[in-house]
Amino acid sequence: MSRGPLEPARLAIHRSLVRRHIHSVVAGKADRLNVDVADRDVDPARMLIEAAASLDRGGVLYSRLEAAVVHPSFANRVFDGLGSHHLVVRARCARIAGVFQMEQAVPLIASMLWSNQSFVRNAATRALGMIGGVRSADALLAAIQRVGPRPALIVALARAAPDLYLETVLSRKQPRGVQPAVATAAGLRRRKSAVAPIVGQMSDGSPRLRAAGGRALGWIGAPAAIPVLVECLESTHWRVRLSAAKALGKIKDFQPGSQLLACLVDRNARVRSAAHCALRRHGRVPNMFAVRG
Amino acid sequence: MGLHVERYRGRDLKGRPSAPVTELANRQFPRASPAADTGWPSYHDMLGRVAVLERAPLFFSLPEFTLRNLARRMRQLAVAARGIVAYQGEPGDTIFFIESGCVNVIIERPPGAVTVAVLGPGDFFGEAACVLNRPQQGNVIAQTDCRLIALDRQSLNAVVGRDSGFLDEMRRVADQRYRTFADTAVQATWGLLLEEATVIGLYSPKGGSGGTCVALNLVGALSQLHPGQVLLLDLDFPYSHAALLAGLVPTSCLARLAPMPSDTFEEALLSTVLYHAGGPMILPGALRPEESDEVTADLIVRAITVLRKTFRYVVVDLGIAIDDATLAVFDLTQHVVLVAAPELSAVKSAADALEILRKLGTPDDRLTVVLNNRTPKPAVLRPAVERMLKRAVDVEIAFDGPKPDQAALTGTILSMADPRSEISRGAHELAGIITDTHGKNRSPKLNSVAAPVTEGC
Repeated sequence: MSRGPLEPARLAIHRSLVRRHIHSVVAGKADRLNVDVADRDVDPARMLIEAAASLDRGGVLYSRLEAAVVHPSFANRVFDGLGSHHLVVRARCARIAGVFQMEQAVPLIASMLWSNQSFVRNAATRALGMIGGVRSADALLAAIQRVGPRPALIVALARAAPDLYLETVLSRKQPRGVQPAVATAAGLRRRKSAVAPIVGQMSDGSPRLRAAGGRALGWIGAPAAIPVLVECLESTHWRVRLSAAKALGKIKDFQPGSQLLACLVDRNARVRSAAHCALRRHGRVPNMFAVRG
Repeated sequence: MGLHVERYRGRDLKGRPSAPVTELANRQFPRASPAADTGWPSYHDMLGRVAVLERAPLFFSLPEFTLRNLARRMRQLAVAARGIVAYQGEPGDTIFFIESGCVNVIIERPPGAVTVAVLGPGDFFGEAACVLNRPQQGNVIAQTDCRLIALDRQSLNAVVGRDSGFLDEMRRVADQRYRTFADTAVQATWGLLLEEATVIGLYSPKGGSGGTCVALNLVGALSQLHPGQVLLLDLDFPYSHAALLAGLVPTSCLARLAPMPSDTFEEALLSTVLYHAGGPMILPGALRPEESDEVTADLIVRAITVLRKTFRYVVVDLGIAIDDATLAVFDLTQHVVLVAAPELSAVKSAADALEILRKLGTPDDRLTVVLNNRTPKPAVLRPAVERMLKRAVDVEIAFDGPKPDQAALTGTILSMADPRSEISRGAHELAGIITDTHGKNRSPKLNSVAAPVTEGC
C-alpha cells in the first residue's frame, strides 16, 4: 500500500476513532469492545493500556473497561492473537492480557517466553509478572531455569510469586543458576518470611548464591540475618564481602564491629567503599588513618 | 478459640528466623520446557484438597466442579512447629487452609502480644489480605507441625469469577473477622478480660463545647456506681481546669513525674491523684501551661498502665489538638466519647474528628457522640447535626441555665449533687451507655482503692 500525502491524516483519524470507541466503552455508551487487535495502523494495546492507566482501579469506569475486555467477544480475540503468526500481534495481546490480568491466558503467554524475538519475550515476561499467581510464577521459574537469570525475569518473578512461593522454591534443590535468581526475587519482595530460607541457603551455598542472598537480606532489612552477613564479611570472594557490607549498612539494628571495620582496608576498592557507606549509615564516620595505622 | 495475653515477644519474632516452610513433594515443579503449565496433582491429593475445601466455612457452598478447579490450582505446604507463616503488617495475596495441625494468630500491640485465635484443621486465614487488600492483621505462627493448602488471589479470581456473589460474601466475612480480631486485641491488651480498667477518652474537637464539664460529670455519675474506682485524667492542655471545677487544689501533676524512675513511678503517680469528697478522683496533667510539653505519649502510656491496674474506669479528658499524646490515648482507649456543641464550626470539627477516629480503627459501637447544648436556642438542630455527622447523636444534653457555672464556683459536681439538672441526666445516660458496653460480665472488685493522701476540698 502506497503512502500518499494524506496517509498521516488517515492514520490520525483512525487512531482517534479507536480512542473514541474505547472512551465510549469507559463512559458506558457501548458495552462491547470492538477493536481489531491485528490492526496494522494503530496499536490498540497501547491505547487500552493508556486508558486503563488513567482510571482508578477500584472505580466504576475501570470496571466497565475491564468487563468489556474480559467479555468473551473481545477476550477470544486476545486468545486468538496470542497464537497468531504475527509476532507483533502476539506481543500486543500479551500486553493486554497482562494489564487486565487475564489469568486464563497464562499457558499461551508462557510459551512466548521462548520466542526468538526480544520484544515478544519482554512483553510476555511483563505480562506474566502483572498477571501473577502460581501458574505465572511457575512459567517464569521455568524460563529462568532455561535461559538463565535475566533481570526482567527476576523482577517479573518477584511480582508474580504468591505468598511463600519463593520460600518453598529456595528450600528445595534447584539447578545452579536458579537459586541466586530466586533469592534476588525474594529480596525484591521484601518479605520477612524469606529470611529463614535465604539464611539456610547461604550457609552452604555457592559464592554467587551467597552474594545474591546477602543483597536480598539487605533489602529485607532483617536483623536475624546479621550473624550470617557478618560471617560473609570474611569470605574469600569479594562479591560476597561487598553484598554483605551493603546489606549490613541497610539493617538498622546492626552495631558495626571489627569485621566491618576490617573491610575499610579490604584489597577490593568496592568493598572498601561499601564498608565506608555502611559505617556512615550507622552514624560512624570512619577515621581512615586510625584504621590504617 | 483460645485467648490469652503474652508478654511482648517482638524480639522472638524479629530476632530469629522462623522454621522454614517447605512444599510437599506432591506437586510437579516447573521444568525448563515450553509446556510449563503441567502442575496436575495426583488423584489422592485432589481428594484431600477437595475435602479440606468442603470443610472450610463459606467454601463448602461452592459447586463441586468449582471446588475441583480450585483444588487443582492450590499448593500444599508443610510448616514446622514455630514456623511463621505470615508476618503482621506485610501484604498478602494468599488464603491458607489448615489441613492438619494448629496455628496461632498473634497481634502485637505494645506492650504486649495477644493471641486472638488458635485455628485448627478446616479453618483458614489470610483472607483479609487476599480479598480486601489489607496488610496481614497478625503474625501467624505454627503451634505444631502443620500441613497447609495455599490458594492465591489470581487462582481464586480466575476460578470463582471477579464479581461473583461468593467473593462479596467472602469480603463480608473477612471484614467481620478482621474487626473481631482487632476488637479482641484491643480488649485483651487493655485488660477488659483481665478485670482491669476501662479507659474512656473524652474528646471535644472545638474549645468551649463543654468537654471538661461533661467529663467531670461523667466521672461523678460513674463514681456513684463504683465509689473510689473512677479516675479523671485531665489532659486538656494547655489549661487544665478539671481540678479547679471540682474545687480541688492540686500540688503536683503528671508532667512533674516524667523524670521519675520506674520503680518509684507508681507510688508517686498514685500520690498525685486528688480525691473528691463524693468519690471521684482527679489526676491533673499539668499545673502550668509550659509543663504540658513534658506530657509525652510515653509518659501517658506509663501512667495509664499503672492506673488501669488500680481503677475500674479511667476517663481521659483530651484537649482539642490531635497530637502524639492524643493518638497514644486513642490507642489505649476502649471507648471514645466525642462532645460537640450545636454550632456550625463545632459540628464540622466533630465530623472531621469522627472520620479520623474511624480511620484509626475505632469501632462504631465504642464511639459515643454527645451533643451539649450551651444555649437555650441552638443554632443547629439535632437532625442537622446528625446529617452532618452521618450518624446518630447518642446523648443530648439540654441547656442547663447557669447551673454549671454556679457549680464550678462552689466546687460541686452536678451529677452527684443535683440529679434533676440537665447535665446530670446527660452524664447518667452516658454512664449507662458505658457500663452497658463495658460493665457486663464483670465481677465487682473486692479491693476498692484507698484514697491516696493528697490535698482535697
